[in-house]
Amino acid sequence: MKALFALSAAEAAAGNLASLPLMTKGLLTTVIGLLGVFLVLGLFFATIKLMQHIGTKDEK
Amino acid sequence: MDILGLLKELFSGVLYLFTAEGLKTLVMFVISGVLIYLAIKKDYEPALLLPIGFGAILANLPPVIDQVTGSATASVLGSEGFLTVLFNAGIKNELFPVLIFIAVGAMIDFSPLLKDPSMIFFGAAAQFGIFATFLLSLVLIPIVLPQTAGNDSLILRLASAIGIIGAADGPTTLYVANHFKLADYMAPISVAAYSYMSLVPVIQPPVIRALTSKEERMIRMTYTEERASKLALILFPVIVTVVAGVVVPMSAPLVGSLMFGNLIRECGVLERLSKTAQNELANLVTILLGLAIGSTMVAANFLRMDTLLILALGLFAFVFDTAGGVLFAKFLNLFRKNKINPMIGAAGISAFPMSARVIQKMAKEEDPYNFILMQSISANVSGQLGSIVAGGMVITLVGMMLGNVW
Repeated sequence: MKALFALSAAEAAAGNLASLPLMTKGLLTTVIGLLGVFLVLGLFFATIKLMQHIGTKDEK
Repeated sequence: MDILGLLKELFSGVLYLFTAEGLKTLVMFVISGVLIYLAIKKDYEPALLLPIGFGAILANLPPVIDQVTGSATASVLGSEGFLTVLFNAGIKNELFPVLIFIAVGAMIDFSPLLKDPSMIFFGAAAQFGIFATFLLSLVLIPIVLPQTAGNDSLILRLASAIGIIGAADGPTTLYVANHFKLADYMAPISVAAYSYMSLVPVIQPPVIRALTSKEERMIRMTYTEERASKLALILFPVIVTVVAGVVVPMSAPLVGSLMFGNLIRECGVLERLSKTAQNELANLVTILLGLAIGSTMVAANFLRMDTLLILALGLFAFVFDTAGGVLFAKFLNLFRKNKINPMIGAAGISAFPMSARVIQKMAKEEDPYNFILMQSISANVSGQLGSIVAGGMVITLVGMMLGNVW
């Protein structure tokens, strides 16, 4: 039941997005897209830092 | 059939060149010739531009009647023509981009990035042009191509593919264009993506010079020669695949294939496969991909207003991606004690390793003893990751904006 509710909420959100004006869709895509790229590469950065930490521990 | 009819039939190809369509064919021959000239004479990515140019010549040869469909097309483009088979087998289903990424992954050494991970953010900053061009395209497409006005779905999808051209990442551009079913625009999009990739040494230096001073271009950066640990080099492709696949699932095919190729390289027990991926696989797929892209350059699909728009906006995206990386480096320098050479930001695009080489060459021109190749390589491999992630983000977000229907 909970899953069904979540699904319909997601569908409603998608429906709302589809009804937005073109430039609003564009601006949303731009802002979230750029932030998303920085977020994912930030996660890669954190991963590398973590691996460096493990590597340093191993060397010691 | 009389003699005249027989001769007309026999030399229909020659007569075709004197028709209106034939003149367009001649224009396409000239464009193909320019691509082949740039490949051979100027050495601009010859492995790509030469097959594309030759594929375009083949695709524009006078038409013959297809025995299956009854329509008139160049013999290589009929329903069973070899270029049609290549296109359907490799581009229509995203196979070639994925295979190319396995090869590229096997060529990439992530060691410099693992030693200096802060460079990874240049791979994100240099995607700025993608999104700036995406926005600009939303404004310009309905104006320049009035037939698209009111068709928000087509405008958004086309703007997405045009924006991605800026990353100088051919396979990702094809992947996005294909995902959004832009078959009618595949020719200019792929030609722009691959041409600009090969024109990195021409396009990037003036943009970098315009945004930096001589002193900034002469900034030296320290680098330690030691390699990252073997464990880190093996774990990195696995973790990146999982992280990217979980956060941006649409990027999984490209990130996965890139990282699979890299794992083959770094694991240490598959040297034969690694060499095959770097050489035979890369060479074979490049030949087939180039010919297949060239086959999309049929006059009727290429000599149109949208080609000019896509080429112009693609160039804008490329310039802004370069500028985004440089300006981001300059911004970071406001807060850093150890200054970054801002030219490194420009290497955050995906054209690997051309962009890194161009940056090192420019640094050497200003100061013969300045060596920033490893930092440029770090930014360049980050750009490879960044452009794939950006492609995945654009597909996901635009898909949501369209209710996943197009």
